[in-house]
Amino acid sequence: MAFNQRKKGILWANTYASLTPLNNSGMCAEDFYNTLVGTAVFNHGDATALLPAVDTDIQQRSIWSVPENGPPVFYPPGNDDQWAETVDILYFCGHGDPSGIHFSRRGSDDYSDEMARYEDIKLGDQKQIKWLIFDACQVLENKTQNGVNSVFNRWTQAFQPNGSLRYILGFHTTSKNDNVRGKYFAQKLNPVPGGTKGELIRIAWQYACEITDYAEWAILRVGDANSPIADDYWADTTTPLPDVPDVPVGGTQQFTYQKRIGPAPGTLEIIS
Amino acid sequence: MATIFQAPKRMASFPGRIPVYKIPGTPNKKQSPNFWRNRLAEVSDSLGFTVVKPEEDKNYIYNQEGPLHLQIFKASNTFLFYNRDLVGRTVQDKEIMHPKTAKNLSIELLKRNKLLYNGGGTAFQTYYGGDGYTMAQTATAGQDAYGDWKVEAESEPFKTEIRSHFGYLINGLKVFGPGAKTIVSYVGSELSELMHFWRSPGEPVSDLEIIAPETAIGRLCKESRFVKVMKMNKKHPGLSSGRFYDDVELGYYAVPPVNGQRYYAPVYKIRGTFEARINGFQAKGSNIDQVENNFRHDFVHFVPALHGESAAVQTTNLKKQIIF
Repeated sequence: MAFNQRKKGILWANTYASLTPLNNSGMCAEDFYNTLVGTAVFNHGDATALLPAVDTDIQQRSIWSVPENGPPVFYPPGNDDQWAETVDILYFCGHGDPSGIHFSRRGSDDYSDEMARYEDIKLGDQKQIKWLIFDACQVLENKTQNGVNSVFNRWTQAFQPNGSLRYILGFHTTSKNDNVRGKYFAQKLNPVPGGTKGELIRIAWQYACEITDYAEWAILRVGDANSPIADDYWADTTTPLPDVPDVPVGGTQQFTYQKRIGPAPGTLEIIS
Repeated sequence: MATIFQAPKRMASFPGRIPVYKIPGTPNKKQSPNFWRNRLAEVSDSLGFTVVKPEEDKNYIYNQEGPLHLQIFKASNTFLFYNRDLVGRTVQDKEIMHPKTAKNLSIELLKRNKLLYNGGGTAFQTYYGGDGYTMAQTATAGQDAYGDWKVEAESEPFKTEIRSHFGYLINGLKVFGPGAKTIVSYVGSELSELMHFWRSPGEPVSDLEIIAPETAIGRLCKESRFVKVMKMNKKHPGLSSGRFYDDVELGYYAVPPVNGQRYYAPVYKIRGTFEARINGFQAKGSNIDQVENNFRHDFVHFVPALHGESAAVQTTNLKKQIIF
């Protein structure tokens, strides 16, 4: 597929009912949306956006109701099949923490809690979404190796087996709610003038974070450490994306996580 | 101070007045095309590769040769160089240098390219800020009863790249912000990355009166996001709380290299944390549990330290030059 036909969507939140408001989510996400070469599909934000961003935009059917007499009822469904699943790249900008991302507004159901948790996000079964960006604090934090809270235990659940999702990009640490990160990320993904391809997605994210912050970026992706999936491009007219290997029922999948770690705080040595 | 945020016990030093520096030669976007071609050739040459086909738009000029990529940011006349085959990888097929070796090699590289400033009559200097790494880790996942991935084994984290960090001081004060850092990275013994974001200050424009750190905290508490949190807390007492950390620091601020900046003006770096309890729902199998989440948000704010009433502030229009 020509990269200018790839589909893009954004979700963003500045105003929160229970959390500190943010200033830059809208500008960051919308500049990403308006700069990236591709087909615009949706821009959901808070009060100033055409449509609100809500947790169900990215949640699969994750919440079940159990009536007193009768079988469990599916209630209410998430709407990821109408939104998150319909684009190749989805950029979220707002509050986050290791358990998920926070939204400004409630969905239309009684169970909306203005948050999409890692257990509620299951993407890729419609074979469209490939790259998911959480421009939000600590979503990809990994402090507990092999524990229930390790980044692998939390977020590999978001990748549907034999689905299309390839990467989740985000931060290991608290990050700055920045107004230029999204634009620079899109500029790096686009081909340079006269070029046929843009930058590798992982490198574009790395530098979008480095030029705007001291925060520690992180990436979780499908495939082992040597997988060609490490070298995905958004814009490449010459090479098709390597396939995510099919896995039989009961089979296993490899995942790779990477992050930048900065120096210990307080180091300051004058160079003579 | 009527706030849910506890004030720090220790405050930054408060000199009363502090010099403000003009950054010469900016904004740089207005330079002639030849200026940028020459600059690209100069930086490329210092990094050992030639300019074959420069590419340019209004914000950047690039040189790409195979995996080597150089991008100059016109707004700040700073640059980013990396080797695409090496930087930020997840494979560990080359030995990671000892931090001291990486530090010494990085210093040599910066000295050779006149990117290291250590006095000599200037008010600013480079400092070494320690070593960092690109880390990778792998996992194997099987499938649970719901068909979701369930992790079976995780590898130990491993280092794939060592990164020596450098920062800057003006008049002995740290320059905060993403526009004042240099990072030199190696994979094995090969240079994988050189990020040099630094705008050298010129002569001081003037010594200006600054506010006390306590006043800066008060200024921060009047900012809309803090006001909102305090209103929320008044409506639902006990649901949220916060505190400022004890390490309020005075320094200067440098905006990202994609932005122009005409002055180095003083700021206070104020760190803190905010916690809130949020009620929500969580699906577990076929049940819905009502849960209470503790949301914790650490924050860093850079509060302009110049006295707001200063006429000089208005005439030099400093506030517009700093983006927070």
